[in-house]
This record gives sequence, structure tokens and C-alpha cells, in this order.
Amino acid sequence: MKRLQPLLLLAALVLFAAPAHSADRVFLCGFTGYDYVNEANPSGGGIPTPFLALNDEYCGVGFITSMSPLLAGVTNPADEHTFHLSEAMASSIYWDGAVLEVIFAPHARFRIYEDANHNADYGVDPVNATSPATFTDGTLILGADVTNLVLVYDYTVNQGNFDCMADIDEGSQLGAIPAEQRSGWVLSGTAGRPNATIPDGYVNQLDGEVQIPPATAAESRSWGSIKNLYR
Amino acid sequence: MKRIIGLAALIAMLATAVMVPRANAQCVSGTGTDILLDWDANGFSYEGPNPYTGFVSPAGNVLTNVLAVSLLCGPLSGLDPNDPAKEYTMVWNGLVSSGTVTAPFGSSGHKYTTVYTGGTFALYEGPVNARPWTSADVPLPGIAYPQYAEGTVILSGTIDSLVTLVTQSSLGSISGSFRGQYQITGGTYQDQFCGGLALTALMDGLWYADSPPAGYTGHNNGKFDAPDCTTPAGNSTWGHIKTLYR
Repeated sequence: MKRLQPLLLLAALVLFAAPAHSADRVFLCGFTGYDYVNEANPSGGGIPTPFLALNDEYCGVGFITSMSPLLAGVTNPADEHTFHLSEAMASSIYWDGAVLEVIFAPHARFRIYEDANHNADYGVDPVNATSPATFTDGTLILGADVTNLVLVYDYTVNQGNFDCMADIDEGSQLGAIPAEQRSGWVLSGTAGRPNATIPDGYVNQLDGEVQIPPATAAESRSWGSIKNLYR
Repeated sequence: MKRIIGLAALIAMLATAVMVPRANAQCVSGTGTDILLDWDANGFSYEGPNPYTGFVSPAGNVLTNVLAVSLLCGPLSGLDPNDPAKEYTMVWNGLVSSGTVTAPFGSSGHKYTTVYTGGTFALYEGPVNARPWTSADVPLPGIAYPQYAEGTVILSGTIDSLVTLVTQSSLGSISGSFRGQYQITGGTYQDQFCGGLALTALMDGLWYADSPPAGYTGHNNGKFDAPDCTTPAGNSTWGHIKTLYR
């Protein structure tokens, strides 16, 4: 029975180790843009239904629409701030004719750029001469390793969402993010067609945000109370 | 006198050129239909009179949403959403729930779809008090609402067919989206949109119903697209066209 107890405890810990979706996350940045797909097997006939298939690369480009005060002092508000989601490879597809659920392999990238040139241009049919190139030609200020990326899209209402875990691990402003706040979540709503705003060749309109954990405040404790934690 | 008139015309042209708002790249899609306004993570929804639990909205509940705008485009681009003296806030009212329909998908996913109809919206220019609120500190709806619905109504109209989709993915993560249609029917800027015609346009974004602030059912992050004012081509006859000029 004693052997079972740690096992049960471990099992319980694993079961409840769900992503920390809680109200105590704080806003890092908001974004708006469009997504597109680099097809593993190009269909050549416009955007297929469903719009993602196994081994396709899911991508997104767009603008950062606002930023956390954490970044306010280290970024130039007059510059253009853009994002690029890339290297998200579809590893599992569920499609029932109405609902699409795609789970992606780990290690996609979400990157934020700062650019004095206001040149970002969606163009049409990405990848093209300006997209993603003009969204990634600034200074990389923050980049994240993306895991647990999952996309759900419901064709009956022409909308869906994606969410993922993002571990911020690169960029010129990495130091502005306290180490304990570098693992957060990227969330986005997606709106498909009919949608006059979507440039040709893009799939959905995106509107989302990056959330990070709150800073953990330091507490004064006695050595005795700390020792008690290990007894 | 002619020289003076010419000079005056030149000055007027220059002044107009200065006053025309710069097209913000964030606003422009390149399709001819652009974004009108955007808000980031600081939209908060609530509904009643019955409890919203487990992402399920009881039929007949009435949804309210309050938000602070972070980007203004098109005819509103001359307004600064970060103006230290003013804020731009929006409220949605009277959206009646048709009840939530739940359905499974994938290996263990669930979706919760709710259609709301019959609502209105109003965009206010008012004193700065609600803009700084986040999920961490937004007060209860009864306290917050009056501060969002304060000032001059610069745009107002109807919202219909608002669909919220909350999903629990097969990985267990919760997320969501919203999509709806709106029409501008009032406000001090109404005439700057398609000559005052109430054309239908899209609104959409993130609808995050997990772990909401106290008193709310979730937070949202989204945008209104600008109405498309282009007039579609119509079939006519030469005779009919001739009558237009007689």
C-alpha cells in the first residue's frame, strides 16, 4: 500500500498538470493578422477544405496592436511591430466534415519584430515577395518556442481558434521579461470566409494575445520555516 | 484677387493634406475592406439573469460586453486611443442568447456554440477611467459598466447573429472565438461611413471563457472591420439609363 501511495500521488500530479489556464496570467501583447498554409502536397486549386492536412506548415503574420508595460520602456512605439508564427507542422488531423482539429508537432516559433520601416505588406498568395519577408525584416525583439499548439475550426460557423504554450527564449529584449515570466500562452480567435478583409491566399483573420504568468513577489521567511519545507 | 483665391486654395489643400489621417498599416488589409477598430484583451462579457456555468449560456439570457479600444482606423483614425485626456470605450447591450449547443469532436474535444441576437453597441469618447482595467483589476459589472458607457456616443448601431464558440481541445486546453455582424446607425461619426448608409460589416476575435474575472463570463480580444462602401454593379437597360438623364 505504501508503494502505491507515491504512485497514486504521481498519477494525480500528472493528471492535474494541465496547462495553467488561470485568471492570474497577465497580458504581454495583442496581435491581429492573417494565417496561411504551406501545403506539404500543394493542391493548386485555392484553399482546400479542410484548410490543413497532415505535415502542412501553419503560419501567421500580422501586427502587434499593443504591448505590456514590461516592453513599453524597451521598445519604440513609433516603430512597426509585427509577428510571425512559423514551423508549426500539422502532426494530427481530426476532420468530420464540419469540425477540424489539428494538433501540431512541438517547436514551432512565434516571433515579434521591431522595425523603423513601416513596410509590412500582406500582399496576396503567401509566401510572396512581401510576406512574410516584410513582417520579419526588423529586429527580432522576442521569440518563443511553441508547444502544445492546437487549432480548432468549425466550418458550420466559419470560425475557430488556436492556442499554444510559448517559452520565450530569444530576442534583443529577452532580458526585459523576468525569467519566471517567460512561459506563457498564445491565444487567438480565427474568422474564415465569408470575410472581405482576408487577402487572397490567406485563410483566416486572426485576433489574439500572448499571456504570461504574473511576477512572483519575494517573501521574507525564516531559515526555520524554509528548513521545515524539507523535513 | 485671383492670386489671393489661388493662395487660399493652396493653403486649404495643404491643410487638408495635413489633417487627413495617415493610413495605419495595422488597419490596412489590401483587399479594400480594412479594420475599423481593435481591442486587446480588455473586453469583458457578462450575462444574466441565469448563471452561465460550464461555458453554457441558458436560452433567454442577455449578454453585455464592455471594452476599451486600442486601435482606431479609417474615418476614426484621427482619434488617438491612447489620448491622455480621452478614452474610447464600447458597450454591447441586449444580446439575447438562443441557448448553448454542445457537441463532441476529436478524441476528447467539446465545443460550446451560442448564438446571440438583437443587440446594440455604442462607442463612447469619454474621460479616462475604464481604459487601464485588465482581467486582474476590472471591477464588478455594476461598477464598471457606467464608466465604459460614459461620454459622447461617436458610433452606435445594431449587432446581430453574434456566435461565440468555446472549445475544449483534445489536449484539454480551453479557447474560443466570436463572430458577428454589426451595422452603424447612429453617433457623431455615422455620416463618415458609406454616407450614413447602415451597411453590414464583420466583427470577430478571441472569446476566452476560462477563469474569467469575478462577475464576468470571460474576456475577449477582437476587432470590427470597416463596412465595405463599394456599390455592387447592377443590371439595367439602355432605356432605363436614358431616363436618368431626361
